[in-house]
Amino acid sequence: MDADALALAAFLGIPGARLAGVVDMCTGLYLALEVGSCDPEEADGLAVSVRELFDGERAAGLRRSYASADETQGVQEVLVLGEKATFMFARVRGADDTALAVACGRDVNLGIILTKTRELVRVG
Amino acid sequence: MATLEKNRLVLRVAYAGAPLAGKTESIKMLLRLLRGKDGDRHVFSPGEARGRTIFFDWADYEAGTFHGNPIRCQITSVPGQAVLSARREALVKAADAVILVIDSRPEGLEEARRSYAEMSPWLAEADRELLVRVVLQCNKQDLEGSLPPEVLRSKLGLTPDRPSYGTSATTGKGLRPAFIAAVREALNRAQTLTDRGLIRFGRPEIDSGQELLERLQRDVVATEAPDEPQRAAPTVQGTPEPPRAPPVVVAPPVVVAPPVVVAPPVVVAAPVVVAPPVVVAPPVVVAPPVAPPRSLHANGVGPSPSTERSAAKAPRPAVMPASAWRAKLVEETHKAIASVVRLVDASVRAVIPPPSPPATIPPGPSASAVAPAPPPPALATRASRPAIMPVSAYRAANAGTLRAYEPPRIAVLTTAGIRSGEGASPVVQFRGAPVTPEKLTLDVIAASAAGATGERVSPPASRLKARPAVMPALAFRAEFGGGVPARVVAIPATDSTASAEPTGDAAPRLPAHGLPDEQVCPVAIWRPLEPQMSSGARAAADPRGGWHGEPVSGWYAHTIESDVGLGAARRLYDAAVSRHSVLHRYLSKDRCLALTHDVGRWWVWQIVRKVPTLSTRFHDWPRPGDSPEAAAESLFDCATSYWAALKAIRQAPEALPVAFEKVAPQDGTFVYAGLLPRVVAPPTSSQESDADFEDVLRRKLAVRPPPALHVPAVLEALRRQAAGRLPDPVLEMICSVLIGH
Repeated sequence: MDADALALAAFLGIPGARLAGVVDMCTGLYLALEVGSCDPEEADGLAVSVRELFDGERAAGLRRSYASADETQGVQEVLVLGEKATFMFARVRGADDTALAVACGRDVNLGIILTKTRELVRVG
Repeated sequence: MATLEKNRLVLRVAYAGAPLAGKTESIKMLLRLLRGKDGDRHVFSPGEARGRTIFFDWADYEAGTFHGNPIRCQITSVPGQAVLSARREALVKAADAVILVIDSRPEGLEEARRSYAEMSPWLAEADRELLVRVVLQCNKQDLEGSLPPEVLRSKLGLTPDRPSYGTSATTGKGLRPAFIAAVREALNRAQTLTDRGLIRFGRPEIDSGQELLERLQRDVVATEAPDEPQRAAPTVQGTPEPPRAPPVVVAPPVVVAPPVVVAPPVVVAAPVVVAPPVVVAPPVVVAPPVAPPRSLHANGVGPSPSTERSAAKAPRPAVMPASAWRAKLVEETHKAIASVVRLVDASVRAVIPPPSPPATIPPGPSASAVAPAPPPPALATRASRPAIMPVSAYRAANAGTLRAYEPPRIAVLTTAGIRSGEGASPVVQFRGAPVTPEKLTLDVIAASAAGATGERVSPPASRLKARPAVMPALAFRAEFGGGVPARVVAIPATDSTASAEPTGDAAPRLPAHGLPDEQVCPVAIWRPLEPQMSSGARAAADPRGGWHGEPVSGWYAHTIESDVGLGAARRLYDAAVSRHSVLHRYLSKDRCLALTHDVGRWWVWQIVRKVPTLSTRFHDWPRPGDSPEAAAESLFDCATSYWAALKAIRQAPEALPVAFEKVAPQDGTFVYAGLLPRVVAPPTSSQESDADFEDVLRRKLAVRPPPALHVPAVLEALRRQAAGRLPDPVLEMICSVLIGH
């Protein structure tokens, strides 16, 4: 699945998704982005956050804490519960330099978000 | 060129390519994707005539992150018309990455070739060492008959590692990935520039489309024939022009008023520090006094690192990693020392009087009358700084021991000539802590820190001697120089009677504990290694030159250079330290340098730990019991690792020989694990790399033919696994080798 298809599948497939994007870990830019009627510029900060979280220097300590002895990264998925929205970030399997970022409404079922995202990043 | 503006990295990405290939449309659609439906309103297109770009298109986009700091992309396009090549050249040369937009239909291929051929020398010329990379954007993929990107890439003669993307500027498909690939290339270039201390600081040279327009008009358009743009529009290489704009009135290119005041390019001195004035000791040696610090800047040398660190105005840019900053400091210091020493040497040789007591030297305590220097503190009391510990924290934790190592606040440069006690008392001009001439042969040129009094005294005892035994001056300054208001340079005299390296029985002893006057860098590796070394082992002659041996099991030592004079040897050693500092990101971690003295010479050694390389990984392939799938997987793994290593190591500022037995995995990437070659090797081309891999594979199969390996099945499995993940020519090469066997 290419980045465009993955972002579209996440946007359409995850209930309540307001935004879905595939983030390039090298640059912190979106390889693909689905924002519906929103302004894509508003989503740029989210891509930077995802990049910092999975690959940035600021969260290096966190990642080190969850890395296994053979340095396999333990932080693969991160769920953030905000005041107005729920964010799901997940590394794409088989493409370490990309991650999927999804923003949903606050009232969406967390289990569904998790399951759907895992399904997508596994095939992505 | 990439610029660090406060906490922001500014990059330039240029869309270039054949006329009517869709450069402007690509930018407009990209901006719609990046900034919303009205994003194309942010595109500045001066002088557009009949839908044709006359100057350029310009857009700004700030997003993404580089070492935690935002990236600002200046997106430009170039005019495609044949006669506007001067403008194209200026725009392409100023870019950090170029997106080559081509028409994917077969009829657009010739134009694409011509365009790429035109651009290639500009890219090479832009910076011979830091090539601006090209991303291929195969546009108009939505049109019938368009060729796939892989085919177009090979038809253009581009290497398989060159990124290529199929796009459609009308639908926007593929534009984002192509743009991001270009940003990646630009970031790589920026990182290399940062590592090498070449990156620009401050306001970008061009900050807006208007500024670029003014610059183009001033520098380029003025040299063109006045009617070129008008002539250009209708003569587009014979390509039928689509009706882009109503053919009512042909608007001549907008003539922008001549720029009122064009600011000169902002020249930003590397890291913003004013060097202390170099004051020359008047009496002793120098007839034409050493030039004031302006000459250092004129030579591009830059200020002393220690001064930089201490100056509150020159903090490390937040966007610059500490390691890169340190490496830069070391490199700059080395350059500064070399240039000043050359200058002083030349002056001294020209004017130095015979070694008799010069009448002009004011009286002062002679060196011999000086009280002996206090013994240096024991080295073992000072722990080396852990790699992840900030220097400031380390200083705070080791304040007691480090104080003893604080360098005197004086710069002393010595050259060959008068020896201490040989008639003339060495005289230095200094401020602050004393300096000893002990063991230094001095024609002293002293450069004091800012505010020097001009006082002339003979140098009394000092702790300067303590420093060389610990680590080289460069490493010392880089690590402990912060907070000290001036730099310390102590370079003993060079003995010009250097002879050839000894041969036969006169082999030097390998670096070990107890050899006199050892210097080692980095200390953190040497300390645990040192006790294990036996001090009696002699090195063996290496048929390729130099001496080598295994001082400790698993560690390999090889001489880099040697010299009979300590001064020259120290300079060689400092050069080796600088080289390693610059390359450290691309080298295996476990290595150090040592300076030892034996059989009448000084020896600079590099000591490298033997680590499992790609060759080790490939050693037992193919295993007798392997299934075709497993054999193919191993081979595929090996090939991808090799190309990943090639890609990683090629980014090094110096061309390192990439070979199976010299590349090892480390921290998720590949590094050079072999001995650094004595001389800088020319960079290898991709064809040579392919040939190297092929050669290894052929040798492997010749020595160890596949035991009952079902080659067709392996080939099939390999093709399945490698499809789209390994460049096609490489896959074909591997298959051909396997079929041959």
